[in-house]
Amino acid sequence: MSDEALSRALTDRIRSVPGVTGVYPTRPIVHAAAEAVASTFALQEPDVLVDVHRDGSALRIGAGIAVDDARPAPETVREVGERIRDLVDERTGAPADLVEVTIRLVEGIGGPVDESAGPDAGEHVATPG
Amino acid sequence: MSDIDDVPVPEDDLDGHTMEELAEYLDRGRSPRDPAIEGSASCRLALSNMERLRELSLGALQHRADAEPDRETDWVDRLLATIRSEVRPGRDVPVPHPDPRLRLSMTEAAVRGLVRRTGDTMGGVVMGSCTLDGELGDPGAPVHVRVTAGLVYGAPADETADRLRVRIAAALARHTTLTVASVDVVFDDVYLP
Amino acid sequence: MDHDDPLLRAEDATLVVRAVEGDVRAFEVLARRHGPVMRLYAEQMLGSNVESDDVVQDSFLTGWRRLSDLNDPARFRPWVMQIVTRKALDRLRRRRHHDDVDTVQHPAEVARQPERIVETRMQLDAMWTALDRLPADQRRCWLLRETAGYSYQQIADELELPVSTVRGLLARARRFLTVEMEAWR
Repeated sequence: MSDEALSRALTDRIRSVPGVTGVYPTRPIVHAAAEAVASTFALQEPDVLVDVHRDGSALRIGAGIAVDDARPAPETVREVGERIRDLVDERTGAPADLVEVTIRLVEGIGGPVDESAGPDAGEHVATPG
Repeated sequence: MSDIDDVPVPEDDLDGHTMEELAEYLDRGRSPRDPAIEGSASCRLALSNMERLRELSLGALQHRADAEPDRETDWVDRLLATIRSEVRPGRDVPVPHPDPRLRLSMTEAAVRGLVRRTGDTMGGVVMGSCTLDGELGDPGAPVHVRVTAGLVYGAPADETADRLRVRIAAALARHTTLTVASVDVVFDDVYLP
Repeated sequence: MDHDDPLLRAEDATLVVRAVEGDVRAFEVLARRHGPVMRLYAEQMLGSNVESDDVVQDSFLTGWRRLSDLNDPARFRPWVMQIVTRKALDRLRRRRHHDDVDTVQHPAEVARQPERIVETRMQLDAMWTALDRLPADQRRCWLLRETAGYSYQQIADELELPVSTVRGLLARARRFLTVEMEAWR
């Protein structure tokens, strides 16, 4: 399986994970409005966005994602990491040495917040000031 | 001071080979195979002894290191402090996962964006700046969130600030594993509805 | 560090790959895992605790900064050991040129007092004691040859000694260690 085909398969697989609203290339985009720029970038090369990097015999996979507020971001990104890992192990026969997934954006915020939802919400709020 | 005496130590009889040659032969993994060396009993004995001592030497250091509880680890703390001060800006917040081959994180920009959107969608405030103070990369390290915002004219400042704090804390608790020590809100502007 | 941190179980190669990407925690695991051996090695080379801590800290810092130079991530330990060796040799060279060797505490001298020699049952403990009892010059040559893999000529260059002297020191060290370890065959 070529690296491009692998990247394409991974991009597809990531998109199908609940909570993922977008996939971005991992090269850092230095821009204050990175979120807005990232969406236009995605339009140019819509399907081959996951970084497949070989460094000698080491195989490293990198992906950037946008996630939805509806699902806690850590759950979404963990599932994405695991799907990538499993797909690479399955399709290439050689396990990835490192899978990096970075959340670049949390979207869809705006509904009423259930203030009892976060496990430690109350404990995290320190005294005012 | 020095234990070097001037009398040279006679070399063992190694069928015309020196210890130095044998040491280098051993370093090469005894290949390519040298029939003269391998055919000499005294050479083989010397090689075997050298190999044994070498392994024991490495083993002894490791064994001792394992046996001694680390006397003090201040040097590690100093080392890490220096390293952290050199790490490039744009800090990522780690998301823990039991598989060490998975390195999951959220960018600082995403966290700040989250805080800002949370405030902007509350109603009654317009978010300004957002700063995250603390070692974001260090799980468990306390993080202080400081935000500035514009307050809608007529709204009660203290109550609005409290609502905003709770909302921000909840959003961070939901989407990050940060230990939020405090959320400071400063209204530095007023706007008309 | 938290005791069920999965990084604690990770292989060196994984930790190196992460650390190259900026993961400081992964590097912390490497430092805590290999630090103790490096400290003992540095102490044995330098004959002092105070300097050995500096050397090790400095070596790991260099390790962090130059980590992308390491070609095979699985070989972190020998690579760091080479850095420690070079820095320890730098210290020794500076000492020689500043003539303050006599003021340095040698733990080996303490170990030679018979009443301090602990009865050792384990072979590795015996080896450690034997190494500790070697005179400093012999021990340094031994470690450079056997642990750091330096050639006779390299040792001579680094310690600013004739090769024949290095040969003699190594022969003596080897003989002493062989005799000491004979009982454990």
